[in-house]
Amino acid sequence: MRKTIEYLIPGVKLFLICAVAAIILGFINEVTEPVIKATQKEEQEKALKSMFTQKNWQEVPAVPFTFKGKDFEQNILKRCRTKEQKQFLVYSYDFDSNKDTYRLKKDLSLADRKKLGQLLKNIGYRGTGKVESYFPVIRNQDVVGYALKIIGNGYGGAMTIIAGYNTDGSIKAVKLLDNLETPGLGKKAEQPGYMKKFIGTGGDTPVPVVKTMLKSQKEIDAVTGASITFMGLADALRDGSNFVKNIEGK
Amino acid sequence: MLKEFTKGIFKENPVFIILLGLCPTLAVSTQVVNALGMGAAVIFVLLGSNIFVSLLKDFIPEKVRIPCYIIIIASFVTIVDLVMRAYAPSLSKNLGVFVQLIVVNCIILGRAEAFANKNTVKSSVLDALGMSIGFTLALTLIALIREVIGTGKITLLAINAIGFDGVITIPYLHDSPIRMIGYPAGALLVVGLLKALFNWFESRKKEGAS
Repeated sequence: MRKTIEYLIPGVKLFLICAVAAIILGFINEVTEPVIKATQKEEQEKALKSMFTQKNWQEVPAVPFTFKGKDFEQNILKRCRTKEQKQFLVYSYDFDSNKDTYRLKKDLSLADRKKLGQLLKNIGYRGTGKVESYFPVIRNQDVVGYALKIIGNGYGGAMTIIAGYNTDGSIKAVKLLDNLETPGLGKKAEQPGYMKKFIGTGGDTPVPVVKTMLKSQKEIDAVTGASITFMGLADALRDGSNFVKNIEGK
Repeated sequence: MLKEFTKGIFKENPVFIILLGLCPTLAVSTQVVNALGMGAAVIFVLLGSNIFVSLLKDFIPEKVRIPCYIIIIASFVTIVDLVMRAYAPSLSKNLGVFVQLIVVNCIILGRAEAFANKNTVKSSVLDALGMSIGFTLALTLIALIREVIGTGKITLLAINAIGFDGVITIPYLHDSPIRMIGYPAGALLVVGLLKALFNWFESRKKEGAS
């Protein structure tokens, strides 16, 4: 009996320390989370304003453009809890019986797209693409470009990227926001000038996704030692370019 | 009492004498600004963890002391990280990664195990300050040597107010730097040579005494 207690005491004490630590961390997280979110939003806004001159930005969640027929019926529709949800989904996607795919309605309004994004989120559907949301740039009631919020995979985990695109899918400007890349190596991507190698690509010329696609030895040297960061960015930007082409129906 | 503070800077310097925390030393000594950032973060966290470990030293059972220290250190690091991200975003942008790296920095665990769990809060605070400042100085020295020889530049924090972009360029070296020193192998060489230098000083001192 005494032996049992002897073994039990350290366990209980360790548990107590863990519990106190968990409570303190939970409390601190509760306090700091809204502040952190607000600063992130501010940075995002700053990045957007540095790319396009526009006052009001509307964030539209990215939704899949196509679903395989079976996937849509068995996976997506089954998760709906109410009739309205189902009806709205069927309304948003057109069925193409030749290819057995559901295609997003092209003329779906911004409000409907927002509603659709919220709905997919509510039923627990997680998109497969890297593009999280987009901001249409509107001038004289015409869409002249898009800013995309893309989540890329870097060396230190997820990287938040804000990228501006022209309507043909070519890259106009790129900003790397939240990231955990290594200082002195991958972090260099935050410096102005790093993104120059991507600008203008994505339309007629492909986005350079491997080092050999870069134009000069100088550009190759600039990414050497941080290839994972480079490839993560390039992959995300290529996905973004394809996303823009998809919206534009090209 | 003062000895607890100064020993970390010279006599028991964590990097050159007790060879603790070499992984971050090799990794972040590429630029002076990174060395300063890592140093600042270590001062913060080592101070906090040493205080808590010495406060709780009678409560923590001998058998599970290492997990307890790790929980204390990890919690402290997370708190510092979250608070910095919320209330000092620009500082966090510069130090963010280093703060998270500190959880695995063996100086912190090493000082908890070797010093804070046997000593009072007061001397633990002095020990933490001495050790972390010693670490910062050593790291900055290595980074200075590596950056100057490896790239011909010295990168410090940019001060926009006076139009200083944070980079000092050294004329001749910048055109033909010895790149190898900037790579990880160069870090090992620099640390080894500096360690040899410190050993030489130490042995000369001993000879002089005897």
